Amino acid sequence: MVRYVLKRILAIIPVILLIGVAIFTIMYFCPGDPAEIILGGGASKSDVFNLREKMGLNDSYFIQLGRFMYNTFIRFDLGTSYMNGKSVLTEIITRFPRTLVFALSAMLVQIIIGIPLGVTAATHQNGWADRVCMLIALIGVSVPAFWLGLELMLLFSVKLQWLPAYGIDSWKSWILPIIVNSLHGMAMMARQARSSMLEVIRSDYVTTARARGVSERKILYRHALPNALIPIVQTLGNSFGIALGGTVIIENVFSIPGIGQYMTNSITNRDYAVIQGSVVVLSIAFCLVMLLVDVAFGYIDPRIKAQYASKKSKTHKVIRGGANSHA
Amino acid sequence: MHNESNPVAYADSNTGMPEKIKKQNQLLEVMKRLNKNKLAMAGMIIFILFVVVAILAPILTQYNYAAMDVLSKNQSPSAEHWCGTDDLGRDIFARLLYGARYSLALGVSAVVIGLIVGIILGCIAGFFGGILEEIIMRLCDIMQSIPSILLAIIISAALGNGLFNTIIALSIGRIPFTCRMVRAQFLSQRKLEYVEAAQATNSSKAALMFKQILPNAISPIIVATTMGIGGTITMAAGLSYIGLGVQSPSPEWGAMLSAAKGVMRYYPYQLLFPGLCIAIFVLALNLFGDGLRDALDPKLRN
Amino acid sequence: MSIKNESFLKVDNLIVEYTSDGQIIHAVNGVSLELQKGKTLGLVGETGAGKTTIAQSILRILPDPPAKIRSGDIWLEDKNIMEMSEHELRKIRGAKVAMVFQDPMTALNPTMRIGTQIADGIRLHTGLSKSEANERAMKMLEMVGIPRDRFREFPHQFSGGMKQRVIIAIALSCNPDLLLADEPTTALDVTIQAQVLELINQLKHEKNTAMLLITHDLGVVAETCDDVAVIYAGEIIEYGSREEIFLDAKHPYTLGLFGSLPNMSDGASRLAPIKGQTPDPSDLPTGCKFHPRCPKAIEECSSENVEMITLNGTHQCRCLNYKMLVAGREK
Repeated sequence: MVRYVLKRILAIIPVILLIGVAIFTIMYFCPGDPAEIILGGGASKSDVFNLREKMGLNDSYFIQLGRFMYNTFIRFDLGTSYMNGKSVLTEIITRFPRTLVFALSAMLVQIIIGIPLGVTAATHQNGWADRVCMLIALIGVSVPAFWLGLELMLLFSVKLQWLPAYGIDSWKSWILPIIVNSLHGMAMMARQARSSMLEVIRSDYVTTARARGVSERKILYRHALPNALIPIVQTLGNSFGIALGGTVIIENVFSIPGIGQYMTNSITNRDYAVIQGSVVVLSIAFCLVMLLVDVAFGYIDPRIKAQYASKKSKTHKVIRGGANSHA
Repeated sequence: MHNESNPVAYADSNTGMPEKIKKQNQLLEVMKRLNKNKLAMAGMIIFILFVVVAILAPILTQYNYAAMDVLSKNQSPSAEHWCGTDDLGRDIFARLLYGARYSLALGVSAVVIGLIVGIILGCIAGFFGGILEEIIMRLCDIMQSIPSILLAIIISAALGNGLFNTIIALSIGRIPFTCRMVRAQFLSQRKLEYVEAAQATNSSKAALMFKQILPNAISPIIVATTMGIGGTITMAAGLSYIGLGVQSPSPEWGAMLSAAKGVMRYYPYQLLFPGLCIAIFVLALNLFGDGLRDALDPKLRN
Repeated sequence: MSIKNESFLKVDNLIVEYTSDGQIIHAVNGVSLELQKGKTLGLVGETGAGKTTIAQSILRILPDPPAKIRSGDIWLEDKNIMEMSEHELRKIRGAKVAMVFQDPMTALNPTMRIGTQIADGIRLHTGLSKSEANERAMKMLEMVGIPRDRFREFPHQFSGGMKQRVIIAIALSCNPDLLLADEPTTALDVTIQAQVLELINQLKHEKNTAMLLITHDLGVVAETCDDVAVIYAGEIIEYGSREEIFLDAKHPYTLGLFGSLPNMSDGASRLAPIKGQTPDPSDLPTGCKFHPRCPKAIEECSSENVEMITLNGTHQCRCLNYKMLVAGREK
């Protein structure tokens, strides 16, 4: 088992490094001159040139890439903000816990509400419970979360004044953001749980259990659910990805001082150092969570436990790969 | 009377019908099943409605979406301006109609481009194997390790604002998904016994693979594509909302929401209409995509 | 026939339908059969003839929807299964009546240890404590030839043949009076098949269990069954003792079945399959359901509903050809 974990950790290191390369390369093409942005519009050409020299912006792509990789992964230095010159890393470290808590809570809500929703729909297939649950799921997947957030803010914060509209002063300020951020993931989880459960309910071993006289309730909890949950656990990492992605815009909507807000505020300022650093940190966080889920998954499924061969990681990637990029 | 002509009843029958007719029958079956699903049909109709509206926008409204009229700014919905006006006096209904063009263009183009590139890469990886496959799969790994919205943000930041740039930014995130699916089909088919059997009879390996593999992969790809359009539209709106993507004066629904946020306390209708458009559009697509998935694979439905 | 008689199991005119997509599929069309204690009845027929449906109806574990038992009675000793409550049914499932399923690869819960799967059933139907039930489960494993220390292993660690033996162990763990074996050896290769059949026979003799053996393999029938019922399109079309069916088959379909077996001694030239295909269960032929494919069909076959005709004592056949014969004999 330990071998399996070590193997997975070793596999993820090159991925993380390559992510760094990819992000740097993409951001390399951002329009605009950082030196100009820092010095402002009125700076002289020679001042700009000197600053560029100092910042190493006149070097070739590869040198800059090497410098970036070295800074990021060895010195843990994500550069300084163009706007205020402060260290990007320091700011991110301050903000990261908030974003993490935000994403994790949203993920928790996704699981706690999404799975029972899907299971209920499956056990009452084609009944009214099924239709209602799937309607909720459909709406959750279709309505743009940030718009819903704005509308709810209008209703609960402005009109009714029950909840604060921005910031994170009290626990109340988290209610709307978490609900809104979890909606999409919850809906996807419900649909997944439903189809997974339906498949399991029709399986031979459930029929076998029924033929042995096991009660329906026991069949549900001891036979059907454990098997249905396996494919769902596989997508937990994905769930986190959706929740994490959601934090970016929703933090902006509700003015939550996390990484997402940091990043989106920097867009209008063309503060590319901030954007770059934020995306690097968030992507690495995502990778690590995926790793954790993979390892946890290895513990849960007895079939995997028995064969911690690398064969598994290939099929894993194929299954996991799908849900990230599409809604 | 003994009914021999219904191919659906026999799972294992091979009544010797020519391939073309069998395919036509299959297509007909799918369409019939789709037709029975009322919700899916409703979704398709709404989608078609949006397309029609987008095309006929100039006819449906006399206003130019960019025409500013500062005197009539921030007016509530009325007989003159069905959805009111925004902060610069532009007619919101007109902006919604033209905005449909942007959403459609963004959603459909990005998904289709991602689809085509993904299929090509998947075929290359699956067919040639070896180091080419390794490289392509590694690239997919990396792209999928970055949450898709973040990927879209940095690419959009790098390319800049504008319709075309945003389409590119959105399409790149979709490539790994299709690529993986196509390659997975190749993987599973490579091992199938009939590949060995066919090789024994000297069939062309390439022709064999493409004939057998692509039709199998088509169904999930079609479904994912339909659902993907909805997600892409939402992401496009999100990008525009935070200042990337498509900005004013272009009437993109997400950008309209961003403008509305500042005044939503006073003019809530400016927030309501664009968001509602996105929600209904995506809902329609998802309904249709669900129905399509059920129609293409009855196993999933039951 | 009197309703209460000495038969251990009596199925009386069972009719089962499946609804799918608005179409009605007639899976079982008026099946009647009897089984005595300690005897084995073979249910023979092609795939899709309705055999599994019959077995699942006896335990009433048909998926509902889409299946529905339209009518019929099933008597187990002196109780009617159709009138039992779900609670009573659960008491007899796995205890009085046990079922062995067709595909060993999917019939076991992949996330549960096999020992637990056996012991759970034991605890459910007897009052044994956990350790006592485990002990009994381990004994069952040994009885089917699996070392008892494999008790804590998972299904994927067993081969197909061993999985099937585990399933048999589960089925027999509570000493059932009736065993429903649904193609218990179909998914296994020939050598394992022989072992499993041997095992089933042995256990049957030891415990005097009645058995309903479903199969499409005539070889298996010849080895294990006392009586045989041949099923076609949801109906029993021939019924008799093993000798009567094998040595003196009457129904054209049964003859066709035997005829389509390759015969080594005859110097086989071509296989002689039955021409045509099994009918679509949602669109069955009128009259005799086999008539479109029957070499001996006469005009009345397409219009008249054919009843079971008793040829002698235990041998029955559903064919108009013999109606005339019997009628002629009686004259």
